[in-house]
Amino acid sequence: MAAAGMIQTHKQTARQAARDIAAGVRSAREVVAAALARLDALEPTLNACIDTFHEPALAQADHVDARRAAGRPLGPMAGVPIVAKDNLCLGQDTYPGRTTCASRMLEHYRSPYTATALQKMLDAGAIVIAKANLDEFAMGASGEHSAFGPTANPWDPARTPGGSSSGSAAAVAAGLVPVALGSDTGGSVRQPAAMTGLVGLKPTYGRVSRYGLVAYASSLDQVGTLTHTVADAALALTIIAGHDPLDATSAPHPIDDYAAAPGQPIAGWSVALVEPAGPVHPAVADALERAARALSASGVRVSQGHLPHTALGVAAYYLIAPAEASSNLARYDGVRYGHRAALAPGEGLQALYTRSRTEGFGPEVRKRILLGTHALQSGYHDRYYGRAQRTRRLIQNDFTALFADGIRAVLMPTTPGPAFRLGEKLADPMALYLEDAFTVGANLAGLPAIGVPMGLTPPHPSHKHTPLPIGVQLIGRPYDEAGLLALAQALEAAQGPTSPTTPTTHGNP
Amino acid sequence: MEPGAPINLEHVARLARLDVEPADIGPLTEALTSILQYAQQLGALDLDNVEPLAHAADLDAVLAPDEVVDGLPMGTLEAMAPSMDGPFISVPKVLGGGSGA
Repeated sequence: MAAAGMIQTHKQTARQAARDIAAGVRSAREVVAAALARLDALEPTLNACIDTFHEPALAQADHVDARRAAGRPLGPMAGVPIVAKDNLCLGQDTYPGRTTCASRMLEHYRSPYTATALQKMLDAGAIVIAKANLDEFAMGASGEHSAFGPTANPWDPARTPGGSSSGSAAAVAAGLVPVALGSDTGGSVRQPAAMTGLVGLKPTYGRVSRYGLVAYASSLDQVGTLTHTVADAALALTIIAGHDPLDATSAPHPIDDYAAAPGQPIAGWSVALVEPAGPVHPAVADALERAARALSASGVRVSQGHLPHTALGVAAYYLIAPAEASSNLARYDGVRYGHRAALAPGEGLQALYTRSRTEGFGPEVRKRILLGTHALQSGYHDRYYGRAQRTRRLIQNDFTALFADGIRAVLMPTTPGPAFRLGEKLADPMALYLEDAFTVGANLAGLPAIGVPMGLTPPHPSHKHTPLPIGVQLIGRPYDEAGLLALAQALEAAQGPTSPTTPTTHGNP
Repeated sequence: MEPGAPINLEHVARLARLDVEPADIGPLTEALTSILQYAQQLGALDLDNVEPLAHAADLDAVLAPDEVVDGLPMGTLEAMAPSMDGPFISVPKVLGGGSGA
């Protein structure tokens, strides 16, 4: 079933694919057909996708080819296949499919409109081949809390690709597409990027519109990108960034020339290396050290920095995020849309609400709603939510103080370790929540952050384990995505992009 | 932080409009308690003079132009509703019917 050209395609970046299509080296149909063939071959292993769009995607590819043939201008993503996390609404005009949030609650939901970030990708010529699997309503760090089953890590199918943007990460890492949209509330783009050897960008809160991103925790949610290269992250951000009248929290702040940012001079900049407070895998410590050396070699002054309240981030996050979720998810009541329970004769409105919600939400979502409801209830608000909000201020102040000292970005781990085995942390919710220890800070403080691959774990002596990707993270000043991209480019240049040809996909078409 | 009062899970579930199976009450209470115990570390901080941060965006009141724009067509919204009765979304009786109200 291998078609010629598939291997070339999956090694391609979005920039290269768009250039090839614009130059007529390959047709958009060839590129999209190859992506779909690879999806068909690997999806039984990966379970990265919820809905796929074979015919609409090929039809869109033909439109791109026809535009080119007619000499009409092409967008910067023209003909490039992408996937979008299935908590981004996608209207029915071109891609008749669902927006499920990987939940039974929205199993049959067809959005009548498209999320702004996704619409901007479509307007730039990108072609959606699938909606990507995720933890239900983006609540999770492993992809295992999906009503449609877990997604496998292309590097080792017995392991998680991370979460909650599990399918987005797996689809890019396995070479189905060069770009995926995800969302990052507490690390849900950066953590899976680290576990699959990708670049994961979470922009500043407000940099990208949240319109059409199904809400989890509104003060933390932000649309982000997963790509193989820093340059592709810059290209995607250029497309999706900007103010949106449909999202009152999107920032009117001017947009930089992100595409030009990678490769900009960084010599003389200062970066604070923040050592992890708790234990991390030796390969994570090693990656952090190599990243610091790579920046130093580029003329960056790397100093030790301290974020004294970052260790409290998980505690604050797991009060704030569930509190906001309990409020946001109150809208799913079985009345206007979503799952409605079948009632027995005589059952009333309360039964409709309660039964619909209990049947529609999975266990992790129900747990977080209960946690948030508890934290917000009368008499408990100050003790939990209030304290968490005050701690959030201290966490933001820590970053502000470093930036005021001239620090351009903070360098720290993305995850405590490489991808763990599916099922390994399900029994201990706190262990799974602590996966977010290094990522929640950027969300709580509203800062941009980028995860960059920094090599692989050493081969296991028993040869039982394939090497697994390790990432590091840079957290920047508000709206300084350009600075982060420039620094990330230096890391990528030192490291070399992690090959998209992973053990699982190697040898496959 | 003050030692957390035990969670009254059935009460919280009622507030959240969720049913919890009797067999799940114990494990869920335990899971939530372990998270809240972890959060107790925030109690060690002196937060008296710290302003709460609800939102990291540096936005003041955001105003939109006072213009009439199109919403979604009625038919689109009706098609999403699980149950319609003519032009109305139907729900069980609120008053005088079953366990409602």
